[in-house]
Amino acid sequence: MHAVYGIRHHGPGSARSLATALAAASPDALVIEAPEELAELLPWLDDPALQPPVAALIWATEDSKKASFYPFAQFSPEWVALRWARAHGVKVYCMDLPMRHSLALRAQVRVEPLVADPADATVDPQPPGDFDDPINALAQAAGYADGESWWEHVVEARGHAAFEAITEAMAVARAAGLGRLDDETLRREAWMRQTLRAALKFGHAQVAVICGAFHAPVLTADALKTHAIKDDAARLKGLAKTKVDATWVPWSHTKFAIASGYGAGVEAPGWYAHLFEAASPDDVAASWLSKMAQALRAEDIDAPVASVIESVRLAQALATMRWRPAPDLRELREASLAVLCHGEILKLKLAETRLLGLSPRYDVLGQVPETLPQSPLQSDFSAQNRSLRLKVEALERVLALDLRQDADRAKSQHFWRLHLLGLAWATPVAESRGKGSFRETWTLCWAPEAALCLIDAGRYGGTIALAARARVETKLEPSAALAQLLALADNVLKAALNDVLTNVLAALDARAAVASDITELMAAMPPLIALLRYGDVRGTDLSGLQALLHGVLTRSCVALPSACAQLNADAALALVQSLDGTHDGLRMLADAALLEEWLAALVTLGGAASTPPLIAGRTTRLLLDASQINHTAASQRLSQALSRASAPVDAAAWLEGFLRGSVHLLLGHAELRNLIGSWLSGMNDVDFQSTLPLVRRAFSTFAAAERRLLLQDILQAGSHSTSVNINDEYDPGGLARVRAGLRGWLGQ
Amino acid sequence: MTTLRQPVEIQFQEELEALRASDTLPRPPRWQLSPQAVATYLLGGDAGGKTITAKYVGSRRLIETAIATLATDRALLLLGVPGTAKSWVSEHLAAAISGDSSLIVQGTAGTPEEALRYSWNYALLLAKGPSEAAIVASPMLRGMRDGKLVRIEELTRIPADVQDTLITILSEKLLPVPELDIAIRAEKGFTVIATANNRDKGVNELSSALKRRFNTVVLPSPATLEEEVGIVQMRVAQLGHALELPELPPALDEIRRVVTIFRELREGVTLDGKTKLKQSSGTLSTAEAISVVSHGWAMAAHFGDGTARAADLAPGVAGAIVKDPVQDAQVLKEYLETVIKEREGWKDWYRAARERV
Repeated sequence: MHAVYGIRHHGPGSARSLATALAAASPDALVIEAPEELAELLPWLDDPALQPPVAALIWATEDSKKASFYPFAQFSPEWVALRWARAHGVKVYCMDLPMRHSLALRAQVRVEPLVADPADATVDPQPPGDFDDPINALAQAAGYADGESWWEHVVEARGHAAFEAITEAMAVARAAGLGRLDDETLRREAWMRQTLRAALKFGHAQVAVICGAFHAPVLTADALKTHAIKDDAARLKGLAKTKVDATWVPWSHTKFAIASGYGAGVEAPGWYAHLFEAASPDDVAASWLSKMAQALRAEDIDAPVASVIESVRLAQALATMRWRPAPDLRELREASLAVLCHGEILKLKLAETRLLGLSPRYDVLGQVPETLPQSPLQSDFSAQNRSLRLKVEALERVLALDLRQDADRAKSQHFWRLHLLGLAWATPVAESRGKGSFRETWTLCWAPEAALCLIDAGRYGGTIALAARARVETKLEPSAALAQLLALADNVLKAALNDVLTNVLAALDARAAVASDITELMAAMPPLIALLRYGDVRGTDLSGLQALLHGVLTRSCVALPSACAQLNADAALALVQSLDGTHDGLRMLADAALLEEWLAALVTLGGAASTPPLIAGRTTRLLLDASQINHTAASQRLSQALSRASAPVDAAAWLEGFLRGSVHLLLGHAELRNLIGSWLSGMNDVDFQSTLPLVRRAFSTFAAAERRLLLQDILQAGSHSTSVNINDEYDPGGLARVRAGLRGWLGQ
Repeated sequence: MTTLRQPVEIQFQEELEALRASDTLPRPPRWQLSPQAVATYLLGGDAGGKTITAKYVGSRRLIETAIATLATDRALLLLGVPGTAKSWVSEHLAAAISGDSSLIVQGTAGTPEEALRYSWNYALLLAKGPSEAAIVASPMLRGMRDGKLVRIEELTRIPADVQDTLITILSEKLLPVPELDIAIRAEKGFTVIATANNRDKGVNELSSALKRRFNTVVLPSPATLEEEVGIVQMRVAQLGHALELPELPPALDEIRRVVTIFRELREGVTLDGKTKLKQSSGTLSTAEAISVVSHGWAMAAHFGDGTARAADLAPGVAGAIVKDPVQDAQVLKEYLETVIKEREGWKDWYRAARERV
C-alpha cells in the first residue's frame, strides 16, 4: 500500500503540505528520490549542528572533478520529509540512480572534445529533478507568473487531496510531451521502480513515495504493473561503476536561484525562505513588508511603521482586485514601490538585494557538524582557521594585514599556501600605491564549490603545508616560462615554504641559463629584485635568491649590447621600461657589486654604435642620474645626438629616451634646454612634422604641473633673451584672413 | 454641441453605462463602478457585449496599483515626465469612480490657500456675521461634502505652505474651520489624485510628511515604438473628430516616422542602438507627438491637398525639437545630416526639414 507525493523541489508550499500529509498518513517507510549514497549521510540529520542550506556532495574517489551537489534548504520538501523520518524512526529508502553509476555514465557520455580545459570540467550541480518544469508550464497556462504562486493557490487551499490531482496533471503533461524524456530520465525511473518494488516487498504497511512531480505518474501502483520488471531490468543491465565518496558541505542561498544556473532553481530564495518561516499565511505580507522597511532604514531611507501598515493594506487590495487569496511577491513589490519607496525603483532594488537572497553580499551559508568525517587536509584547514581566528563566510570581507605583526604574518602565509593549492577563498588585492612592503590586503569570500577543491587537494598531502609543497613540485616543469617560475617563486616565498624554495630557485636558474630572449630576462629582473626586498620583511633566507639575481644580472649585462642591436621601435620601448625598472631596483637594493656591474654594462651599451637611439638616450640619462657622468658630458652627448648629421627621427628617439620621466633635468639646466630649442627651431618643415609626434611623446611623460613649470621657465628665459627672429617674408593674404577671423571671434 | 471639449464622463457616457449595468462586483462606498470595472474602463475590454476602448496603453499593473490605492482611500500621486498621460489618467479615473471629473484644483505658483480650503462670501459675512452659509467651498471642500474624487494638477508648483494644508485633509479626512470652531468631515468616497511632473525647474518639493500621505505611481514613457504609434494614432483620430477635420487621418507610415524621430531624440540613440545622438532640451513626449501629428493633419487639410505628408509634418516636428534656438538647432541639424540623410526612403523628410532649419 503506497501513496505517491509529487512535490516541487525547493517549494515551501510543497514542504508544508507534505509535512501535513506525512503527519496525517504516518507511513512506516519513506521512499525518497535521492541517490543511494545519500543514505549513509542520513544519520547526521540528527545532529543539530547541521544547519541548512547544506548540500550532499558525492564525488568519484579517483577523479574528484566528477562530482554532484544535492542542495537542501530549510524550505525543501525533501529536507522536511527526511527530518520527519529521522524524528519518527521511519526507515528511508533512497531510490534514485546511484551516483556510482551516474558518474561513471557521465564519463562515457560526456566525451565532448570542447571540454578539454580541466578547469571547465568541474562541478555539475545536478538537481534531483527535471529540467523543463511542467509545473511552470501548467501555472502559466492558468495565468500565474510562476509555478510556486500557482502551487500555493492550488495546494494550500485544498490540502491532501491535491497530491492525487497533481499526479493526474503530470500524467497528462507527460502525455502531451512536456518535460524531458531522454535515456537518462528513463533509466532513473526504471531504477526508482525497482527500489520501490523492493521496499514494498519488505512488508511495510504504509509506504510514502516522495519524488519530483514529473516522475509521480510512473511510480503509482498502476504504473508498477504497466512497466514490466524485465523491461526495467533490461534498461539497468551492465551499467558502468566507479567508486564514490559522500559528505555534507555548507551551501548558500544564492546558489538556489535560477540565475546561478541551477536547473531546479527558484526565482528568489529569500522569498521562499520567508514563505516557509511565516507563522501563518496572513502573516506573510506584514512580515515581508516589515523586513522591507528595515532594509530601507539600514540604507538610511525613511520607512515609518505607518507606511508599512499602508503598504500592507495596498497589497491586500491589489490581491483582491486580482482574485488572489493572499498577496504574492509581485503584489508586495508593487505595494512597497508605491508606498515605501515613493515610486523610486532604485530604492526598491536597494532594499530587495538584502531580502531576495540573490545577492552574494547578503548571502546565508549553512553549517556542517565538526564530527563529519573529513580528509586530513580538511581537518588541518579547519584547525588552521581556528588557530588564526579566521571564519569561513559567504559574505565578502576585506582583510588588511600588517606583516610586521606575527599573527598577521601567519595569516598571510596561510593564505599564500591556499593560493598555491588553488583554493578560491582568499584573493590578494593588488596594492595600487605600493607604499610599504609590509602591507597586504586580501578579499575573503567562500564559494560553496571551494569545498570540492579542498577535497581534491587532499590527494597532494595530509596537511596544507605538505599539499602546497607537492603542488609546487608538480609545477616545476622544464618548459615553464621564466615569468611563471618567478611568480611561483614569489608565491612560495610568501608562503614560507623554504625547503621547496631551493628547488624553485634551481629551476629558475636552469631556465635563466637557457633563456636566450633578452627581453624575457630583462623583464624578469624587476620582479626578482622585488622578491629580494620582500624577503627582508619576512625574515627568510635569501642567499639562493641573491645568487640567482647575480646570475641573471651577469647574463643580461653580457647579452645586452648584442641583443639591442636589432630591436625595432616597440621592442626598444619595452626594453627601456625594463631598464628603468632594473636600474631603480638595483639602486634600492644597495648592493654595490651588482650596481657596479650594471653601470659598467650601461656604459658599454651607451658606447656601442649599434644601439637604438632610444636606448642610447636612456642609458645616458640613467648614467647621469647615477652620477657616473657629469652634465658637461651629458650635454656633449646630447648635442652629438641632435646634430644635423643624424636623421631627425633618430634624434627625436634619443631625446625621448633622454627626457622620459622627469622634467627636472630641463628645469635646472638652461644649457640642455637651449640645445633642444635650437635643434627644434633649426629644422625644416618636413622634418619638423615627422619628429613632432616623437618629441611630443617624450614631453607627454611629464606631469601637467611639471610642464607648466617648464613653460614658465621658458617664457621667463625668453623675455631675457635679446635675439628676436623676424621673418621678413610674410603672406598678406594670410594676414587678411587672420584679421577676418579675429573680427568674427570678437563678434564684429 | 459647441464646446471645444466635452467632459470625459459625457464623451464616454455609453461605455460607463454599459459597465455600470454589467458590473456585479462589490463597490466601495459611493463608487460608481467596482475597481475591476474601473480597470476595464481604463485599459480596454468588454462589458456586457459593448467593447470598451483602451484609454491608457501601458502597464496593466500600474493602473491596478493606482485603482487599489484609491479603493483603500489613500491619496494617489501620479509622477512622470510631461506628456505621459498623468492628467489624462486622473481625469478618467475621476469620471469612472465618481462620475464627475470637474472637481479640479489647478496648481500654480500663485495658488492661494483658499483654492484648497474655502473662501468667504464677504457680503453675507458682513451682513449676518460668520456662519456656515457664508463659506464658499473650494473644489476640495465640495469633494469632501459630496464624497467625490478631487484632482489636483501640478502639485509641486503649489507653494510649500499651501501644500501643507493637505496634510490634515489627507490623514484625518477633516477640514478645520477655526473661524467657526467647527470641522468639516469628509464623506465616504472622498479621495484625492494629484499629478506632478519631475522635470521642471522651479518646483516645490513635497515635504516628507506630505509625501508620506500619498501612494506614488510613476507613469513611464511608452516602452516600445509600436505602443507609442498606437497611442498617437488613436488620439489623433479622436482629436481630429473633435476639431471636425476632414475624413482622412494621416497614414500610419507618417505617424510612425514622426514617432521614430521623437523616440530617437528622446533616448539619445538611434532605434538600432548604433549611433549616439545629442538630445534636445524639449521633452518630446507622446503628447507632443500627438499634437504635432494633428497640427500636420490640419495643415494638410486646410492648406494642402488633404493628405498629410512630410512637408506638413516637418514644421511641427522642428518646432517641438527646437526649444532653445541655438543648441537645439544644432541638435536637429546633426540629426538630419547623420541619420535622416542616410536612411532609405526618408528623402522627402530630409528635404522638408532642411528648409525649416
